[in-house]
Amino acid sequence: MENVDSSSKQGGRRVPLDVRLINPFISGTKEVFEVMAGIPVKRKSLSLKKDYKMFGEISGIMGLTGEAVGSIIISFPKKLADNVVSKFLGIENVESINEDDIRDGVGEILNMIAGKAKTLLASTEYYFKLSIPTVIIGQNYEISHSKDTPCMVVIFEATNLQFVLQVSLAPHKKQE
Amino acid sequence: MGMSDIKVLIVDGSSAMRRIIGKVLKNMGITEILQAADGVDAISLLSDTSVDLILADWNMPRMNGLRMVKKLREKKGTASIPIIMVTTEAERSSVVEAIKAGANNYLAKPFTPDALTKKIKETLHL
Repeated sequence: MENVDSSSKQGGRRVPLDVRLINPFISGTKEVFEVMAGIPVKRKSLSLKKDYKMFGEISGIMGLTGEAVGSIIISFPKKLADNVVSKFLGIENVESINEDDIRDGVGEILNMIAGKAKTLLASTEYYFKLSIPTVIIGQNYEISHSKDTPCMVVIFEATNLQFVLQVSLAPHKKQE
Repeated sequence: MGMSDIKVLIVDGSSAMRRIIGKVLKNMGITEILQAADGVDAISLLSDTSVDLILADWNMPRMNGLRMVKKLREKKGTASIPIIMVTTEAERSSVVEAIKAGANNYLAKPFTPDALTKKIKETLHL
């Protein structure tokens, strides 16, 4: 079990960070990177997101639907995306990576992370369904998420470069 | 049956996954590799082509892997083709559902090349 802060401040209001929600995404990220790309990953920090700005030039986004609703986003600086995708796809020459490779690779990495988390969250109020991932490539873009649901930001480090995973997921409300 | 005689169909919406699985197959010595991006394309391809093994994802556009397995099992020509589901849908209930629908084996993503090789050999009794 990951050791994370029990709460964090957002807009002056203390919003609980639910360890049960975020830990499956953290362990899923580590497993996908290590098993599929042979790249060890360290979790650096966990916080709540305060704006919609993205961290890197390349972001994979997946809407999460079903009982719980929200989104998961993974963002990389280009250099790290190139490194990870080349290992993931078994492409020896990193310089030969093209935009299609990045879109395919980052989309599938996100799909696997979400899939691992989904399995670990089965039978909780955070159980969700996967959707088809979308990958955005660009600079200084923003991606919004529901204001009503806290967005957790996990910073990871791989090959001495950082990437970010954002999870915003509203649990299933039990019927009264 | 030698590895070079085996024809495999990979059905996955992700071209990245098709590429990764294809590399594992080639490393096993399997060279006859066909690809489809979803269940609709796979069923269309199998209407006039026979294969020895299908590796199928679950979540795909147009027709998902589970529906595809059910449809293939209903048809005489495809009813007995071994199918391995290679998917992120790894909950026990999903595995049971896929096996009930007619899948022969199941492998959760992420997977190592060794794990996929083992599942293929196990399924084809090699």
